[in-house]
Amino acid sequence: MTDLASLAAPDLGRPRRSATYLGRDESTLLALAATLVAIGLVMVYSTSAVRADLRIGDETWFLRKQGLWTALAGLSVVLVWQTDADWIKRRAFWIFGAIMVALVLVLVPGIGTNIRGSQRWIRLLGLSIQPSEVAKYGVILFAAAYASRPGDPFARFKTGFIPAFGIVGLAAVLVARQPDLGTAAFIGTTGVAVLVAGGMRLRHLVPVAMPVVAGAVVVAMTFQHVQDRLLAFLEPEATASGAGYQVRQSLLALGSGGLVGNGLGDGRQKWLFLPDEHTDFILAIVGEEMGFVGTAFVVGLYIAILVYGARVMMRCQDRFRFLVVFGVTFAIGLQAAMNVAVVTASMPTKGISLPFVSFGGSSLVASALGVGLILSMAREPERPSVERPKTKPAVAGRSPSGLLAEGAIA
Amino acid sequence: MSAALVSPSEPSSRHRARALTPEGATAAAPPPGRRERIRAELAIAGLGVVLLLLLLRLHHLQVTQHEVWLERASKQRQRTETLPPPRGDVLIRDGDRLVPLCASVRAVSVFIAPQLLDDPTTAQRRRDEIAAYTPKTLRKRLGKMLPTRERALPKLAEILAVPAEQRDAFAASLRDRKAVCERIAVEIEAGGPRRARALAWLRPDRMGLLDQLAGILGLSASQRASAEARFRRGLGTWLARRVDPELGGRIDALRIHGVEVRDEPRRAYPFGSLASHVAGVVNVDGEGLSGLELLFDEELRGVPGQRHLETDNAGRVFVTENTHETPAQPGLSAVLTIDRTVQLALEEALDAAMEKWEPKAAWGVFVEVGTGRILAIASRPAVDQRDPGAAAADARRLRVLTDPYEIGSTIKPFVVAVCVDRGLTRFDEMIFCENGRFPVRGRRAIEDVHAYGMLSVAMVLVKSSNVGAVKLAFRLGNVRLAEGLRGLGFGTRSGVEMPGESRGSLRGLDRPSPVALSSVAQGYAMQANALQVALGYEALANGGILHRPQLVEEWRNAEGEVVRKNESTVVGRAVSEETALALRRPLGEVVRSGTARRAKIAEYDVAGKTGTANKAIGGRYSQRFSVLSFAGWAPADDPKVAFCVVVDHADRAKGARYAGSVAAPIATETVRRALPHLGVPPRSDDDD
Repeated sequence: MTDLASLAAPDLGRPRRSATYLGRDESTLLALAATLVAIGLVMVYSTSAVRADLRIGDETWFLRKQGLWTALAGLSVVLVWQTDADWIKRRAFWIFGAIMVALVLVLVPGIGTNIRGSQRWIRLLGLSIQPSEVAKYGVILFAAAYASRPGDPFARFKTGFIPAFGIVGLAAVLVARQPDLGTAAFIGTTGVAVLVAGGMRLRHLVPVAMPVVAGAVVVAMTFQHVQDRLLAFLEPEATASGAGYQVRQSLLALGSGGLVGNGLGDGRQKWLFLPDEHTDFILAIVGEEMGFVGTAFVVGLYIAILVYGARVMMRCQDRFRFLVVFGVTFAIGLQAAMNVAVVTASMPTKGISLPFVSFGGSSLVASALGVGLILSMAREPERPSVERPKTKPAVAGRSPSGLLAEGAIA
Repeated sequence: MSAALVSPSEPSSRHRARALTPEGATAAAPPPGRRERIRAELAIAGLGVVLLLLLLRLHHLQVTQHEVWLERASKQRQRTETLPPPRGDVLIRDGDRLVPLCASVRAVSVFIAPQLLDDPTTAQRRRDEIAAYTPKTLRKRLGKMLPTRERALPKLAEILAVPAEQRDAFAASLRDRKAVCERIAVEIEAGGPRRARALAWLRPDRMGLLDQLAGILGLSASQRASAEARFRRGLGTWLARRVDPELGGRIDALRIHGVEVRDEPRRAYPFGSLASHVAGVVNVDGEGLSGLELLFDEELRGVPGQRHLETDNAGRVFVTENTHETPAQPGLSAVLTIDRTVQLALEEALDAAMEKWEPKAAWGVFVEVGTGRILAIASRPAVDQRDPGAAAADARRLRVLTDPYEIGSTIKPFVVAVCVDRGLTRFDEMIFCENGRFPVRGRRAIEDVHAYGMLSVAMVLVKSSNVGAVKLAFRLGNVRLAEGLRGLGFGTRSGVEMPGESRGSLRGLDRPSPVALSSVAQGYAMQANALQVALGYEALANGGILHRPQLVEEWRNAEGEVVRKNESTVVGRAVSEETALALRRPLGEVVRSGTARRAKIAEYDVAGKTGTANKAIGGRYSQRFSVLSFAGWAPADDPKVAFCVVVDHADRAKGARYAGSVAAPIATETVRRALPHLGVPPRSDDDD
């Protein structure tokens, strides 16, 4: 925090919007996310009550926990929103570096907690934290910061493309090692998307990415659970009692909901038929209880987030801000699309939660961090540096010409 | 990691150097250009298209295919349960009332499904986890595992082995959940055996659970062992079938997932083993095995109902709009012709004789004169209805029906009646009884116990002269005697509503053999069951009409309405009314002054005939063991009941020599107790 204060100090004199500035589009975005969280709370209670009552003896156990996470998520939004965008930009590599360290630590036996064969959690201060959830947004910061370096960061293959692609790839590989292939693919895709939007040359990317992706698929196929899931995806009825069980139960939930659903709370698939009904497969119960109307509303909210995210993005004049807003919007949209695709058996099971809605603290707080990032990026319009020297040469201790000169060197 | 970090470290460090001037970073990077904007927009638009396509997919699944999925989904949670119908009762008369001989009462069965009990390996893992906690985490975790005081308290009481009577005081001493969890935490931290005990509840102690249930249900050691054997193999087990609902309530209160208490009505016998052979028994599944329960199983059983339920994936039942049931149709109840008082009197008289003479068996039957309704029917040894399995196999027979025997001298009234009916003699005809010794060609001489010279036909009966009876039989010949006896119901089944009736036999009369004929005239070389004999006497008592015996009077539904009524059935005329009525005096004389005089009772005149037949053992007639019987009716001159009582394998060595002193008292004692109840007042002294 001392670091933050000392670094933020030079900004104080800078003309800026009010600290609590929230533009119209950002307000809408926040409202959309809040609506999803509200739906999530209702549905977490509706879906988890049966299992919670049976396993824990307290049907509100998950609801209360999610309520706590929601409060924490709200706090995260405010905190990130109030953090200076430039400060974030300067710290982007360090933040990402810290996340990478966490991704390594989680793999160390004794530090990471293994649940159901996956080493995804770190216990800290009594909380289980999933570094890979935070890494989803960390990789955006990295890619945006990388692409925002002065000059043309992707001009050269060896010094421009390779480090960026390699680091994003490394993050994905670390997550894949947990193993969590869904999140790994997600991180890889998001990171590359931001890099590409940031100017990465497609002629660099395509020849490298194709074999890498092909190789990754081959490696992934050696995992038994990947094979099972793929088979379950290809032949859902044949594997209905095995690997395809969950997906089939998901379809049973969605399909039996019909147009308007059974009514809130009247889902039947949550009677221990559908596993992960309050986490990754929560949309299936939304569909059962609220029907197509309900699922369409939820999907509509994500489309709206894409639209308003894009509007905020298009107003960004600064490369870093532009890329962060793009990355977060893209990440939320991609995560939602992947989740809906899994739940509707349009894609093999991935272990991807529905952002804002699924039960789970790391996921919810990470999504909140994403929203906070968008708000932070939009809060303070970047100004061309040339306008600024007048106000703070003394503090900065440098002349605009010096800056320009340095920029030219890069 | 380090290798990976090398490459970004270069831009990163330069970046950091510039970062001291915030303008530096932003100033150098060009704003997003057209290329970047188009790429970003395309990517987001692409995702939007994907989401729209997924909307179509959702629409297809939820709206287009709705019916298909709805049906598949409901199928997997539907369960159909069979509802056992309450079995019909078997009722008997007790004065004007109907009382249940056996009845269905509410009972419960307890089933245990081991696979539904908590998985022990998970619990073990939880135990290991708990062992590794810091004191602070331990308390927090305990709080989560036992979220309510109601859940936590019993665990602690269990851990500390608090006696049941101190539980209330114990509960009062710990005011909230926190205090309880704290106490458990202290136990866990104590280490050693205290820790082990405190952690033990985490693993469902299956054998402990079994012990607990066995204790509540009062299972025997062998029952518990067989349950345990199945339990260990992971098989579902009935711990108890058809037990007191109160026990079921206590087990239900434990709320153990995997232990099911199910309603299963039980057979109850309010009068214990009264008429146990008639009622018969049912097996553990409620199917009739013997007696009326077997014969009328279909009527008594009723029609099972069905209950359609919805269950969750663990088999727990939910009440929903799809829960509906077709109720079971209760079985019909049978109302028997048996009268409780008569039955009780007969059974007690039989018991007394069994105790006094220690024969192998004894049995008897009382029928109503004029209808053939069976008022009492009993056999000893008997079956204890509460534990039918413990009875010896030969105690389960209702010997009145199942055991034919050589009826001895009780045949003589029939021989005389047939002979008189055919006009071959008259009751006052004098017959020379050969001074007690009558040689028959091909066998040793017929002998009488006492030597008689001339006896009237009536006196042949009173004195039970073998010689006289044989002479009358010779007049009839085998064909006419067989015809006459068949007319009286011998040699064919009476058609009583009970399983296992024997037919008896008149084989001695198949060929015209004087030896065989002379045997039959004395009640040998032929066999009948006691019911046939009683019905024959009933025919003689009522004026010559043979009835089919009747045991079930009517059938009633669960509301008590009569749905079917059985009327008494006449088989045919056996002897002329005149002949029948003429027999009353000599048979009355048998009890008054003849062979059964020892059984005379003051209250009623009883008419009857004794029978003493040596027991055929290994192809020879035993001189020691005999079948002693007494058949007749009462009152002698206005008969209300006819009867036959048999004492089998009576031992002369134990003093059981004469039917008149062994079998006849059973009948007269029963008559003495039964007739007032049937509306016949005992004779007052001034009548005498």
